[in-house]
Amino acid sequence: MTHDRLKRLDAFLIPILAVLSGLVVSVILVLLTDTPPVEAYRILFVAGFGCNELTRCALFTTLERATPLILTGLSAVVAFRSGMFSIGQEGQYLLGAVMAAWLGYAIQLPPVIHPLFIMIMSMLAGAAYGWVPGVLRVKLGVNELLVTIVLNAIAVLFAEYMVQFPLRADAGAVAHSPVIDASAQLPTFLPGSKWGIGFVIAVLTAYAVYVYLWRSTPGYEQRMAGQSKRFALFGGIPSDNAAIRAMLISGALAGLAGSIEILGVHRRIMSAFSVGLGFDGLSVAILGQSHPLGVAIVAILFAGVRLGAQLGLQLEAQIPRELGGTIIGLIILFVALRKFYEGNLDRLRDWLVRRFNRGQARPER
Amino acid sequence: MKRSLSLVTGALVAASLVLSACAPAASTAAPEVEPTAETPKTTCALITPNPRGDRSFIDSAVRGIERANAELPVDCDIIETNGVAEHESAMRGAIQKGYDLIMGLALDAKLMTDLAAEFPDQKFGSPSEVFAETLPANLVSYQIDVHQSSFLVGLIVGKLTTTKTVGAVVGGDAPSLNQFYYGYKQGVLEVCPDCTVLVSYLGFDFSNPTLGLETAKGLYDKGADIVYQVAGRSGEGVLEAAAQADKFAIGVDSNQDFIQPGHVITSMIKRVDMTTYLTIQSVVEGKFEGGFKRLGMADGAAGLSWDEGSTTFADEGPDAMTAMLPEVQTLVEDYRTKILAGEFEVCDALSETDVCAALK
Repeated sequence: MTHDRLKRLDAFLIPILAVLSGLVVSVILVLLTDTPPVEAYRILFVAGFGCNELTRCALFTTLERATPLILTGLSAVVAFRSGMFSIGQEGQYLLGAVMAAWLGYAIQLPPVIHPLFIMIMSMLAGAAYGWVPGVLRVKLGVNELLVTIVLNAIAVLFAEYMVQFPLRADAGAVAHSPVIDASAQLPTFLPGSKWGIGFVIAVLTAYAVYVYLWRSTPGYEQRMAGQSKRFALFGGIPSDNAAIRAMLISGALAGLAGSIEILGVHRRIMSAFSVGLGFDGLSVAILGQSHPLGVAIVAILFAGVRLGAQLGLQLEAQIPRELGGTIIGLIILFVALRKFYEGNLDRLRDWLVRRFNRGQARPER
Repeated sequence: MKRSLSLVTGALVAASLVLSACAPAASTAAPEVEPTAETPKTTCALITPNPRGDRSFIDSAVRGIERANAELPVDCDIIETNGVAEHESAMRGAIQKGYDLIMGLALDAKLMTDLAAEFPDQKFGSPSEVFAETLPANLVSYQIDVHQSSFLVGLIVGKLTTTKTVGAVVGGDAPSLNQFYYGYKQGVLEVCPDCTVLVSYLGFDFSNPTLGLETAKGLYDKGADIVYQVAGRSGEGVLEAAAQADKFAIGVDSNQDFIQPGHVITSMIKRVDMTTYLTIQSVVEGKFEGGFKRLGMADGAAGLSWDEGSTTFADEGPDAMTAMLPEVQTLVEDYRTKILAGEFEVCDALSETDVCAALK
């Protein structure tokens, strides 16, 4: 029993060890910049996660930046767990964002209902865009990886076209859509950052995804279809339906991410809106062990390291902000080495359990 | 074997403990002590919309910061961002650091005006145009008028063209960009009334050199021998196309003569470095005030790379064209004097004067 309980810790331990290994290796790069590594990491983490007073809190900005990453990460989790290697989050995210920016000013609804309606429409837009690779995979056997790559490129161009022409607000050199109505804007908690309801929605969604995948029948079917399609078929699970359902949900989650980014942060869409938050979701999902809880934690870590590199390293230590991206890259590299950690963790656990049992046995003697 | 592996794991865990223990310990041991300089310097920050290295707009603003750091009693930082998702956090981070002046380069207008309203005691600046109806008192936005200097470019092109067909690749069909194009067209027609001026708009795609290259190729195929590019990074493709087709192009924003030596006749320079510097200077001298400011050729904020002494084309261009340069330069100076003296009116697409009507 103890053994099993310890094994469940792996979902935390492996990412933590990967993060630490990444940080340790990054020390070499930091040394090249003539900054003491401990000082550099202190700056990185204070600027990313520090908090002096409530309205000047880097942590809140980090949570704001983590919000879209949590949702695009969950989107990837749902696809991965169901055996679909979809990297279409970026495209679905963009469609959700365009939908939100448009409905934000084009329709008039009372507060609360307005953002709710927009989020549902954005999720539908994302789901529709996720449905395409799902159906192509199931009906025609087209590799979903290739389809999603192509659909991402189309979505980037489509979003740019929408911003430049139909949604364009004025003749300024940087194109942007009109500001969305006040009734559609998601409230923020504190002045100083756009950390707000969107984050709560993201966390609740993470819980919902966990319950769905691990505690519901359709979720079980999806995971089963993902782990072994043939076994699932043999067990009477319609794995084709499960795959399409996975892509619909995955698309809806990415669309929701785009919606919240517009309604809660930018309040309109502008040129060059695609900055790779969808792709970052993939990294978050992989580093988070394709588990909702892992995704939520890793998304916050990602956002914090980025922010710390941008505002801490760049400003305080004159270290290029790219170091943040490099650290993240190294961490992902170490996650790819998870087999190494798993093997050793198993041994460590065996050893601990033996010690623990012996320790318990002693007083009885 | 087993033991050694578990030792490795143990070492990693230990390292993690040391590291995690180190971080907070260090932060309490070394509280941030600002090194107090003897004369308090004015501090400022420039937030760039994308990383440096565009050889155009952003690099120009960075030069302004470097000049200010060298010549004024200021300490200015450059905060690079990588796209729209980082703009707001960078601006807020800069506000929290407490700079005297924070400049956002071509950031979203709503972001700038909202932050200025939220932090009324903080001075904000934008070295380039902020597209808004009104500005708060603590936000200054510089608009650089480029129609007159683009007219000078047109004169040069009209004189040097041999095919009587010239072109322009413009980032998008908007008044702020047509200010370049109409001035240019007027200049071409001024010295070459029977010339044809072709224009291609890129649909506001400023970051696609391939699109610029293909578009410029199309113009060269239609017989244009000189193309004026007003398209940011997409414009680098135009310069590339000129070199590939062995034709000619005009650079924009920064001095781009060196990018394709011998194929870029001159560059129309929009001095974002100057407006950056002026914004900083106004704070240093205590003369900062918010609102729109317009600068143009008369202020030296717009001009030609030749004004800065660029001789790349004179040195590397074909002899038939370089032989004409002295004559062209005299013509340019004549018109420049006339324009600055108010004796000659150039179409300004932003204010739609009568002169523009003839150009459409």
